[in-house]
Amino acid sequence: MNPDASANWASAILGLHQLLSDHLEKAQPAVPPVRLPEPTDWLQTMARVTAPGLAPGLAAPLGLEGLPAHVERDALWESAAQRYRAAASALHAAWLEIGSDTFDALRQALGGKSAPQDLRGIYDLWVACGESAFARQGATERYADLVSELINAQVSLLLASKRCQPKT
Amino acid sequence: MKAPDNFGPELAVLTQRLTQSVGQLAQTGLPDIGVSQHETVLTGQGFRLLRYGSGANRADQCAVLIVYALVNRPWVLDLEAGRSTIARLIASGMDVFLIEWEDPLAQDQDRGFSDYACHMLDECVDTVSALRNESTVNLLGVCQGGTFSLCYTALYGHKVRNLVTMVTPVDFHTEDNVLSKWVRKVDLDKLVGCYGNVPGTFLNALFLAMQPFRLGSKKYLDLVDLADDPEGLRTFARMERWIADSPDQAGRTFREFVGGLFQRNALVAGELVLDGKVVDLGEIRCPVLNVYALADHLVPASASRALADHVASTDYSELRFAGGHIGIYVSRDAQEKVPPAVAAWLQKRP
Repeated sequence: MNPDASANWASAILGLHQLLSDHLEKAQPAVPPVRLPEPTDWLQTMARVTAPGLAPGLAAPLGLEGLPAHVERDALWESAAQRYRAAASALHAAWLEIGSDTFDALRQALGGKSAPQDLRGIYDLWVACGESAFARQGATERYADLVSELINAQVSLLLASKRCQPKT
Repeated sequence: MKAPDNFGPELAVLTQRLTQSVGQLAQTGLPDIGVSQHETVLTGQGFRLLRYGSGANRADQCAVLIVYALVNRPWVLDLEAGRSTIARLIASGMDVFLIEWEDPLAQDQDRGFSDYACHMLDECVDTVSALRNESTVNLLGVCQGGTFSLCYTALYGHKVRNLVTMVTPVDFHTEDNVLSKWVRKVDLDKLVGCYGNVPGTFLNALFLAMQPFRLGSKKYLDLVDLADDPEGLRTFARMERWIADSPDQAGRTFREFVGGLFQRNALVAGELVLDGKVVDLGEIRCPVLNVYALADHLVPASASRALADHVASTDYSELRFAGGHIGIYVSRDAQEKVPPAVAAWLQKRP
């Protein structure tokens, strides 16, 4: 398969993914959760609100609900936020690697004689390639360190944010 | 091979079927979980003891006390008609008891590992013994509840007749234990100090993150296969409800369990201390049935299999299930094989 075709497949799969996501978000059934999680969803799950002062799109730690939008930031808070940004970015970079490995594997699999011919089959193949790539990375010490550092950084940020809350 | 832009008709069908499935799910509402008749026979500090079934003949049947994990709810063992480990055990002639752990409140954050694995479990064991007029009980420990059951049996062996462990972690440091690696360097003192009780959503997120493509994407796209299957959609909704319903964890228990076992692997090292006593798995001499799943991504089979090397039981056997951590409770294959095998194993050891 040539690289251009690969990009088209990636686009088709992501389109299907988006379609699925849109449908589930519109449905609003009473049964949680129906929102389609993103590959970095566990970050989002832990981070249901945007932390005051963090860059847009950067998840905030669980438990920041109810904090004022602007906290009295001090050096400790800035340091915790910086650590959290670095940890989130590092994990995100690992995810980009997993995504890249996934598409490499998918490209190779689609070149085989038994490659699926339908969009659903290709999507399932993408999932299988993704889980396989993730299993390799997720079991490494490096990835484990990224996860634990993110958790530790989130906790530090949460503690710093609580400390900075105005006294009422 | 077709080019991607030739998939219009297939995409239209997928869209239509997905719309149908999701629309039905929206109308389903929150489905009930738990189908088997039961009564509360003991309400304690932090737990309820349930007894299933009815009728005087229960007294003549072989009894089993199920010890479930603190993570998630035990209703996955009684999900719906046709997918109920509990109903299958009853149908196999068992008198079934279950401990339902209550959610810890803010003031319960100092509740520890010993409180669950020794005190509360001991209260339940004594109650089952009294109700049954028997001096010993059969324990069926599930996942973390299996670890509790192992600790209890090691410390209170004279009260346990037979022990069944199901998808139970024993050696937390086997090479393929991904979850253990992920939490090995987490600062538990800070985490628990920050939250008090650890949010269930935190754990849930970690579990889902272990198979992100399958659990985050594929299972939802697979809804297209259920567009004409209302019962399948209800099962899906029940599973989603169960998965999302993850109770908070008492802070001290979380710190002791994760620190002692996931981080220091103290159970197999013989260094776990509960209630001032060292938990020595070598003290377990009763018959043991170790049930585990070969494709378990949460508790790898290797983590469960390690039990064989640590107990002193001369009557030790294993039941291997060709499936995953959740499938062993709810899959059709498991329903046919696992509960009847557990019941038969216990009934042969009165």
